[in-house]
Amino acid sequence: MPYNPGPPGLGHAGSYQVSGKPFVSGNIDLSAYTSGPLEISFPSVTRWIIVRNRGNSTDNSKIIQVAGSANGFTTGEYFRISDDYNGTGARRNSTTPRMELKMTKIYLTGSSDKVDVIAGLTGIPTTTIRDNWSGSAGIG
Amino acid sequence: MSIYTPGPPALGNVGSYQVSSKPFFKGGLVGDATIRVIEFPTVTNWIHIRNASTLLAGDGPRISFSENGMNTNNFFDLYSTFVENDTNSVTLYLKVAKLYYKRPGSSNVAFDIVAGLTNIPTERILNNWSGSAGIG
Repeated sequence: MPYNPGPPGLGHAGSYQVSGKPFVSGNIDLSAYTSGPLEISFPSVTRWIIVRNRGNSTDNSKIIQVAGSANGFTTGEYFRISDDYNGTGARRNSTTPRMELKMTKIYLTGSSDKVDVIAGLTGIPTTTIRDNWSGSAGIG
Repeated sequence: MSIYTPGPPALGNVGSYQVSSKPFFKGGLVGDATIRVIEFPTVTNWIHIRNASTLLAGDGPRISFSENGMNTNNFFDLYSTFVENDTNSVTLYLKVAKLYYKRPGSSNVAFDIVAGLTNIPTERILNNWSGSAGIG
């Protein structure tokens, strides 16, 4: 009988040592999502995620929030990304570092009209993370 | 018949730091005059501290890894970079169980935390390294 090892598991170190398969969702207008946060589902478990806020304002009013569950926005389990430009030539810290996180979804809310999500994907199936860690401390 | 149960990974388990991490987010934190602590559910792989003040040149928090470290100069301040009107941030690849913070000056500061967690239990680090050189 042939050996069929199946897909890699969540702790398979080699899946995180190789570079990721690209995933890009760009130019997202978050201001259009008025009924709740935007959920972005990844096709497989992420190796890393970068979120950019390219919105412009003079008063940082297009700041956005990022969480690992919709509940995280109400439980304080989120982080913020300033918008990109203050109108006088200076730029704000509007891009996250390469966050090496294994996730299956990410949630965004805010009034920015230009947000990019860039991720590197593993070949690990999303079913290996139950509910995108929801219910864990730090996720909500 | 005995059954092999390996138990949770230890502090030096290389694979725990090679794989990507379980996320931990904490937003809307306010540093005031009181020393406050964030306790992570498991040992961290890395910590990213974001100064997300809505003031363009707003300062970030004072950070240490023990309460005593705030009084023994074992801390650092996450000031804004005024020239660029930047909201400063830093990423630290550190294995810790706790992070202490307060305001660096007389004004309260606002910031957020993003951390990557391992599956290593926090009990593996005695008192979050307190008492070690560089921790306080």
